Amino acid sequence: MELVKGPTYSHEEMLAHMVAEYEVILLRTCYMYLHDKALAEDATQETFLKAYKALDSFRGESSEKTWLMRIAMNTCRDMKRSAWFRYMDRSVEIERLPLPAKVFEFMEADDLTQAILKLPTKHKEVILLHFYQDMTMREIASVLDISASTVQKRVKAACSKLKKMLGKEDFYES
Amino acid sequence: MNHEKMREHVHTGIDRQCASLTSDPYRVQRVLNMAHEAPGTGGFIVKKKMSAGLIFAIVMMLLTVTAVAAVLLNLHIEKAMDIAVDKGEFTEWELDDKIALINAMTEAGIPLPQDKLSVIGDADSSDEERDRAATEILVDIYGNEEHISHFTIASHDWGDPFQWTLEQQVWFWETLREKGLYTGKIKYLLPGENDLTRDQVVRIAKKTIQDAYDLPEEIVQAYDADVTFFTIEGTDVAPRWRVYLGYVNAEAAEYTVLLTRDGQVTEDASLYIFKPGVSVTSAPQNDQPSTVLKPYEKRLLATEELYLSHRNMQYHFLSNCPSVEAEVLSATDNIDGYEPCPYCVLQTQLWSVEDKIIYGVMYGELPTEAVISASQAEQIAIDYLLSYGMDDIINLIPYSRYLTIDNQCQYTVFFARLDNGQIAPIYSVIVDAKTGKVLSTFDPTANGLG
Repeated sequence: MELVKGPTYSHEEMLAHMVAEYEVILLRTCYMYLHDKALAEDATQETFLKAYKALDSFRGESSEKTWLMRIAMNTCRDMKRSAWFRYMDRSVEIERLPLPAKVFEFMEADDLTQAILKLPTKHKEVILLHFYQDMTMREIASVLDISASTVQKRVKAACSKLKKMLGKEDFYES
Repeated sequence: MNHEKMREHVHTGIDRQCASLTSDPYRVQRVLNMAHEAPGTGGFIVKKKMSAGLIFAIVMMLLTVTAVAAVLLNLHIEKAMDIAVDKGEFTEWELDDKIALINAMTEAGIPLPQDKLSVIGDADSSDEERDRAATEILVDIYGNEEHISHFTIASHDWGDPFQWTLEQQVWFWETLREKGLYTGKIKYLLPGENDLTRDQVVRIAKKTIQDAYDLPEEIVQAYDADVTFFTIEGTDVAPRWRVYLGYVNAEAAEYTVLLTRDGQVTEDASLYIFKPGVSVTSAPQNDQPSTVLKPYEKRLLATEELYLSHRNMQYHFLSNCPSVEAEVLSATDNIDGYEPCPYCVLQTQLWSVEDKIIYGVMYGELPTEAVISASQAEQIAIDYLLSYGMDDIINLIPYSRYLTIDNQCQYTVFFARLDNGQIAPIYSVIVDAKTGKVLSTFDPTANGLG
C-alpha cells in the first residue's frame, strides 16, 4: 500500500500508516545491519521520527518504502560510525535473541541468515534490500545513492561470498 | 537455487531468527512524543534575516584575521552542536544556520572558497542562491549533506575520533553532554598533574601485550594507540585508562589494555589462558576485516578459559605467539572453506553489567542505587517462572541486563542453556527495577506467557 499524499491524510495518520506497514521489516533489517537489538530499536524509532519530520519534503519521487529504507540505511550507517560502536563485540549478538527451536526444514535458512550477518556491510546492505526488502536494483541504487550496475555487481559478489561460506554448489547465481 | 527460493530462504531465516523483534504498540505515540519534544520540529523557527551586506562584511572582515586564538578552533564545532540542539539534522537547517556555521568556520581559521562566499554576501543574490552556495561550501568540505553534523565536522577537522587527543575527547563529549546531545555513561576525563602521561600509558600497554603474547618489538611498535581516561558517569568507579592498540592492517589482532590510574594493568585485561595442544596450519580464507574483539581474561563459568570468536584473531595468536599453545575446545562455527573455530565465543552476556560497560561491550546500563539489584531481579524472575510450574529453569543459566526505557527502569532476565559453548537464551522475563513487578515474559516455544 502506498500513501496518497493529500488533504485527507494528517501527518499523524501518515505516520501511523508507515509504522503499521513497515515497522517490523524495518526493525529486523536494522537488526541485521547493526547486530544489536537496542540499537535496532533506536534506529527504527529514529527512522520514523526523521520520516515524520520530513513528510512535507517527501515529494513522492521514489516510493515510500524506498524513501524510508534510505533514511533507515543512513541512520544505521551513522550509528555504525558513532564513537562507541567500534568498541563493541557484536559477533554474538544474535545469540542473545531468544530463538525458536531449530527445526530441520529451517536449518538451511538459518545458516543463510548467519552467513549474511558475516558479510561486509556493503554486501550485506544489497542482500537485505534485494532479498528481504524485495527491492529492485534500481530502487536499491536510489536507497544507497550508487548506480544500478554497482548494485548488480555487489549482489553478485555477495552471492559469491555466501556460496563460498555455505559451501553449496547449487547456491543462487545472480 | 533460483531467485524465489533464495528470497524465501532469506525471509524465512531472518524472520525466524528475529522472531522476538516485533512491533511496538506505542511506536506511533513515541515518535510523536519525540517529534513534539524536539526543538524546531513544530514548525521552522524564522529568524530575523541578517542583511546580505552585513554578512558579507563580517565574512570579509574575519577572513583578514590572521591570529586565531586556540579557543576559537572549536568554535565552529560548538556552533554546529548549538544548531543541532535547535534544529536537529543538517537537512533541517535554514540559510541563517548555515551562514552562522560558515562564519564560525571563518573565525576558526578554516579557508573557504571566495566565489561562494561572494554569492552569499551579494545583495543581489536570492535566498535560494545563497542557500545553494552555503550548502555547497559545507558539502565540499564535510561531505554528503545527509551526514553533516558536529561529529563529522570534528572528525574531518581533527581526524579519526579514535586518534583524538584526551583534550579533544573531553571537550567534544562533555560539551555534547552539557548541551544534552550525549547521554552516554562513559565520562571522559583529563589526567591531572600527578597522573601518568598518555605516552607513559601507551608504553606500559605495549610492553604488556609484548610480554603477554611474546610479540616481536617491531610488531608492537607498529601499533597505533587510542587512549581514553575515563570513569562511569554517576558512579564512584575510579578513573582508569583504556588503551586500544590497532590500526596495523585489517588482518592484525587488536588489543585493549585496561590500566588503573597509576598504571597498573588490571587483571581483566592482562593475559589469556590457553590450553595446550593445538596447531593451526593455514590462514583462514576469510577476507573480511577482523571484528573488534578485545583480549580479556575473564573467569567464565569458573573455568578460567578464554574464548575467541574470530578466526583471524585466533590465527594471529597461534601464528605470532610462539609461546602460546591451545587446543580445540569446540568447533562452533565450522563452515566449509574455513578452519574450524578452535575456541568458543566470548560469553560477554555473563559479565556483570558494570564489566560490560567498563570493557566496552556497552550492552545495558549501570543500575542506579534506587533500584533492586540484578541478583534480586533474577530471583524474582526465577520465582515467577517456578510459580508457573516451569521447573526446567533450574537447569538454565540466568543473566540479566538493565535498561531505562521511557523513564522506566527495568531488568530483562534471560534464562539460557549452553549449547556447544554458545549461550542460547530460552526464556526472558522483564522485571520493573523499582517495584520488582514482573512486566512481561517471553517464551518462544509458547508465544509468551504473560
